[in-house]
Amino acid sequence: MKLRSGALGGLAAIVALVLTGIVYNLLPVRGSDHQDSPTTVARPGADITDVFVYPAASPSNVVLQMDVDPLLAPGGPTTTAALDPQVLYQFKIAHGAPGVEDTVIQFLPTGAGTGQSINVYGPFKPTTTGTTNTVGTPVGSVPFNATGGVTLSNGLKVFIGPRSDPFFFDLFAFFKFLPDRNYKTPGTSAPAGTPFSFNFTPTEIAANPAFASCLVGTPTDALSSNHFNVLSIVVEAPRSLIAPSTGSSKINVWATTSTTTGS
Amino acid sequence: MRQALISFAAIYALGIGVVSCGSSSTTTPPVITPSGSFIQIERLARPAVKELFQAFANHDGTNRISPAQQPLSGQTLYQEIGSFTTNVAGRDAAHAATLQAILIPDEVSADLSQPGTGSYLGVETGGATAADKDTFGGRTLADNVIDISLGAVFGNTLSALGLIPDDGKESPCLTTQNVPQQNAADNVTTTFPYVGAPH
Repeated sequence: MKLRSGALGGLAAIVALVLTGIVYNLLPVRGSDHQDSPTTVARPGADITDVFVYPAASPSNVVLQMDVDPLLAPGGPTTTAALDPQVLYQFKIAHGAPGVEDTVIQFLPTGAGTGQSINVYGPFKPTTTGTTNTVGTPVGSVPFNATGGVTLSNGLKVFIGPRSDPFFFDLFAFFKFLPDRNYKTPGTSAPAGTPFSFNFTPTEIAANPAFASCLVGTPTDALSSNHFNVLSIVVEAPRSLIAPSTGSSKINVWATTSTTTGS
Repeated sequence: MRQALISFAAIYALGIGVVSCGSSSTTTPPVITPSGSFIQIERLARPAVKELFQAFANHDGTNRISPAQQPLSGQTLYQEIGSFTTNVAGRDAAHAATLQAILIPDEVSADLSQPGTGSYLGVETGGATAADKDTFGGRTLADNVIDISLGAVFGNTLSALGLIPDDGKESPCLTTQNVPQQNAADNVTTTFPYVGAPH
């Protein structure tokens, strides 16, 4: 457990563990997109927390990453979590018309639990776009949590398994002025007089006149500092597999999860 | 629900003929493809857009539509970006309209012809969101997406970019969450799969 102040030592470690328990058990939270609807709260394996698109170590490659299954506490919850075998996971990539996918990469687990494998489909042009989809022709299959990744015949390198949640957010402050956004208190407004402010230290406020009316408090990252984990679907692909074949090299990406029942 | 999942999975696994394989090798595709349609229940691109602008009760509806659902201005999220920006954030109408135009349809944009290191909203802002003027865009694991978003909604990011005049209605106490990424070395690695091992 990394601490910003080594002098605090074991006490801080104990406090951090206790805080983790409090956060996990008493105040389920949403961050970037963690626990953002009743549907995804009921089916955490389909709950997409974040989508990332970034250059790979090799300049000719690009990485697409989707994180799901939020707030996995270290230990048991992390070591037993696996993708939901009823869920189709998709990256959708638009080259032309905004919001209309030209290319998809799909993942469909076979089997429940950490012994599962995940079939990979694409990238390919889907026969239908929008919110009802079918799977394509499988490219290959990867075992869950193959740490070094699996390279498929089309050049995709895939890892699917538990990873550290890199998202960071002072959602304790956020929920004070927007309590509706906590799924446990939907429809709730902040009490009258609640300052719309994140937390600032007296030193920061003194140093910047613009912060004069801001809330005095301790800024806290509720997610990464508590060592929550997620399940990551990480795909490294040759850019040529993802980029449009002609014209602009811009891509627009989103991720979806789907079930055969819509629930 | 868990019981139902397990039953379904058992049947499904038997039917499809799972191909198990070792890591770091090319694998044999499964021979049977499942038939039938899958219905979208969750959608995400840019971080914290629903969370900031949209009432919780409306998230499920947004999750179930295409980002291109027409008319874009009919999307609930589009409307709530407008109402939140003017009514809660206290910005002017031009500010709200600009945010609507940037954020809908909801997608993460990246320019694969660019060699940069990546930066959230780097494409949309011409590189203004990163110190190195990165125009690859996308979103990296280390990007402070909350601060970038707060700057656009509550700060002067949009006027600094020349997109709209400064309405003089910034909220300095909401322009930064005031926390850096904790344990960054644990979260970001230089080699595949790039995101740190679980704790």
